[in-house]
Amino acid sequence: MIRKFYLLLSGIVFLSANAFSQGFPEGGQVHGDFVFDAQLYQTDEKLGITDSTLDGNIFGMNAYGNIIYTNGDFSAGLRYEAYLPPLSGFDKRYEGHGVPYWFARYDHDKVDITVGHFYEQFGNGLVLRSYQEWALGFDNNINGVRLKVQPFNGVYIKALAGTQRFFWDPFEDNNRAIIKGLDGEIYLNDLISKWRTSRTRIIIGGSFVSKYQQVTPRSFLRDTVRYEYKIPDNVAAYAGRINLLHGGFNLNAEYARKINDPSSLNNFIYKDGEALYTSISYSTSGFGIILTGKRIDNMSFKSDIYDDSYASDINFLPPLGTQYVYSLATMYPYATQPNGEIGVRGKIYYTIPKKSWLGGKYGTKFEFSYSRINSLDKERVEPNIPIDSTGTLGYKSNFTNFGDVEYYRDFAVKINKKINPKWKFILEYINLKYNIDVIEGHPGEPMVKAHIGIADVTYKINRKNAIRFEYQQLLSKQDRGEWLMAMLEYSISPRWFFSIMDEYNYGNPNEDMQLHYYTASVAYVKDATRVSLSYGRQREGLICVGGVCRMVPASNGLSISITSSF
Amino acid sequence: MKTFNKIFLLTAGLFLLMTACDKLEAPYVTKLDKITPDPGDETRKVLLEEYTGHKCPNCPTGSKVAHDLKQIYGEQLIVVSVHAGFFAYPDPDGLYTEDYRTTAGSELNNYFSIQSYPKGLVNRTEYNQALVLGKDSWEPAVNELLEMPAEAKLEINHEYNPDTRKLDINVDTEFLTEMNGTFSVSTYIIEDSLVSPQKNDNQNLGPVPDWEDYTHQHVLRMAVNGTWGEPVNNGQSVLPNVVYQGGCSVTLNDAWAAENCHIVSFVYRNDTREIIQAEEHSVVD
Amino acid sequence: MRKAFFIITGILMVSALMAQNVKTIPSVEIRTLEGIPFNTNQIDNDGKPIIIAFWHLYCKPCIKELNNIAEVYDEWQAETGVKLYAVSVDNAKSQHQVMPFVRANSWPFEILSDPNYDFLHAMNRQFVPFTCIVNGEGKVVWFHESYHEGDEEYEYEIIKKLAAGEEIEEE
Repeated sequence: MIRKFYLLLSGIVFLSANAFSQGFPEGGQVHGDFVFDAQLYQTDEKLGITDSTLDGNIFGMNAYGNIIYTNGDFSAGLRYEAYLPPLSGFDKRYEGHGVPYWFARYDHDKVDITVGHFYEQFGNGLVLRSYQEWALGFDNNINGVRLKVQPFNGVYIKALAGTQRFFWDPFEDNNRAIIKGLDGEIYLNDLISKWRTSRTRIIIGGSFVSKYQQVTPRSFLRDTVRYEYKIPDNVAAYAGRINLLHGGFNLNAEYARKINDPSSLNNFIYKDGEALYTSISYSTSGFGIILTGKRIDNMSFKSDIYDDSYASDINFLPPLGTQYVYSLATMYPYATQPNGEIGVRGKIYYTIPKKSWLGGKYGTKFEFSYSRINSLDKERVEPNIPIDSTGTLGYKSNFTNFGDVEYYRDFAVKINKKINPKWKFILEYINLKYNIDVIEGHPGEPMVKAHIGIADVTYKINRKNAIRFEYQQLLSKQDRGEWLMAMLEYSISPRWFFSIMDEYNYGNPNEDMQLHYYTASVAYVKDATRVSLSYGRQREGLICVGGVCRMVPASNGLSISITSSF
Repeated sequence: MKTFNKIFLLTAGLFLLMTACDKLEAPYVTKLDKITPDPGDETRKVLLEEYTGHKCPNCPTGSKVAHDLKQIYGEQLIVVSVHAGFFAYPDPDGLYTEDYRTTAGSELNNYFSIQSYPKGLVNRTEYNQALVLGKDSWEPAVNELLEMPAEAKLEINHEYNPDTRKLDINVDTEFLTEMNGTFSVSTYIIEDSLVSPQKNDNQNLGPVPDWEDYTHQHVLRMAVNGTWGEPVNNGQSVLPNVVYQGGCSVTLNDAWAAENCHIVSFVYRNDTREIIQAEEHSVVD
Repeated sequence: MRKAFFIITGILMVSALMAQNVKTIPSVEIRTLEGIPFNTNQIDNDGKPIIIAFWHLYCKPCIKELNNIAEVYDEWQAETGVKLYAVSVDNAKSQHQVMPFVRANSWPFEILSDPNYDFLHAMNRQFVPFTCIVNGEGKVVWFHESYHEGDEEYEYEIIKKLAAGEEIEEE
């Protein structure tokens, strides 16, 4: 099927782009892009990487090529991917190559039809989000049909049906769910003519997603008696949302609910799931504040109830912790706990105006943030049934109370300052608490408490040449202890880039692991092509993009990365 | 176009609502009568490798599951507890100084990329597309495998000299059908009834957080003929009614109590590493 | 491995041969910062040059680039009439922080929101920062991936040429 489509598509592309082609409208375009990431691994006794652990796997490669053809209202495209074998840290189930994504689409005026594979999101994604994140090795594109229409001015409807990608496994025999979804969004200011000029803008929306998967029920033992779970074939999730904008105020709220959905991840409990994600912000020139509140309760929604990895997620539960950009600050990234969490976050942006006493010639930018995430406050459903017992409703929870277990806390201050045309710097201080037991599943390990300090200084030598220096230090008595990091970057605009970096785990409680993780890189950029090479040691760590994290094992070797488009 | 849109919406909406959801009522589980698999092939035996560590607080719960399964399946289930990875490291002092790690255990732990504990492998065979299984999947995986007919028969013959502590083992493998591929036999020594502290977070089982007089069972002590054993055939296939023989010898470590030691042998396919049959025999009869 | 490499190279070469020099902005339905649907074919600047910069709140070089341009934007606009569309690819995790951030930094750009990379992917890119320059006829004349200190001055050279009606040649 895929191969046929691929041939057909290549045919169309070839014919239409060919000068001899007849009968196809003029103005068709072909473009695409290409990414090639490869790594050569070598042994590193200090990291515990020996010939026997490498076991011949000295090479990894992830690559793809995307080709899209557009002609007026019509477009079609495909993506070829190859993981031969996947880079270390990527899911091994990606090994192989093929065309996991192709589509044909017609988009005219108020009707937009896609057949094949597509990406989609309803609201914040609490009930449905299908997306691709190359750096993370995440792709849950939907293969099916999607229709988007605009029946009235200001009313947008989307309907879809299909199945999600799961590595290279074709959809068969209920190995994953068939997803059907409907989403409506109404822009009241466009729909109601009287409101058209109102300063208050209101958007409301609602979505409904149903999954269908018929599986063989599993059984389990309770005191040597065997029971079988009752499994619902159809599970529905629905959500309502509002976005209200008035001057500098912006309110966003979405509430989602899901009916009984026992799964491996929630230990087969039958409670309804719910999620609330809300934020309110006020901003004006030079100042912005945003408060976010979130509550997730048994809201994992998966294509396969027996899969407990993130790969089969239908929905997306945005994480609340602050996302940091500096390397040591990303050591302890927070990932949403789909089974339950409650949290708040506040963030303030403030710019001291230019030419004021503190602001100097260019102004000074400040950011403050605070977040706090805890477990849910759970109670037994019945006095004699322990919380979270499999095959029961699981627990009752109080909607507004924070539970006793701290998952994550952080407080951060950041200052961004340009002193003069040559010098500028960023300073950041972060204080965090990270429940490594819950977040990374290391039971019994103590809460990680860390202080992180960062200085990032740029010196612009002249129009083309610049030097950037980063110094970071992480202080902690838990986990792998203290780290420091120094990096020097030299760039020649707009083509060349060189950097050397060392992360030094000087405070590791295990003296053998007090290692230097050095890396040297060089990159060359020309127009839409970028080539980079780096050599060195990579520390073990979590890479998180959006809400999903993957564990990357320590490695040592040479990496090459090429990205290009045409 | 507008009429089309309305019709489409109505149809889509109705379609979705009709197939929306199956709301269940308690009880959410049905009691099953049968416990043992059906049809049972009593000659088939399944190997459960339990990956654990003495500093892993969740692990006693896993060992309890393995223990319960042993009660149900008796001789048809063989359990090997592999102490490996992060939680198996010994501390220089304090409660957790015991070191149950083995070269073979660490190699297996690495090979199967086990990163959280307790985890188990049942015959090193995938169950529901997963190889490394959480404790709740062990039982259904064992059950599923036991419903299949045995493909081979293993016989452990051994001789143990209590004075020299030398143990000679001979394993006879007889395949029940002709099969393609290379097969290997591995032989492990496991030891029961080792009493030493174990971290625990399950109050229903014993003291928390430190269970000082915990009894460790089925502890992997060594792989006698290497982590991956030795091939029994060097051809392209194996034939029925032929006895493939393999032997190995070991001198038991003085720290091991011979009367608590068992020999575990299993035969597996080299290409998939799937175990097709296993056998267990105590060292001292 | 070798086979895949050949296939990829093959696809690349064939496509590159067939690709035409004219590239326009694809038509993709995204949103404005205020959440209003916005089709990217509405990107327009009355025949004057346009910059489209894709960015993310947690992308250091992106923020640096846009901060640097923000400082000289008045000057650029006065001289060339250029307009910058800053397309945020922040997803639900950070999307709602974009408005307070942009206003607190007083960025004078048009801000668009592309949380699922629909526009970025339609431009055949996966990563930010990614910047492109579009001429008065809506043709994409220059791409650049990544940002290093000083790149904005290179961009401005191109914009000045466009504003003066000069052709942009591939180097």
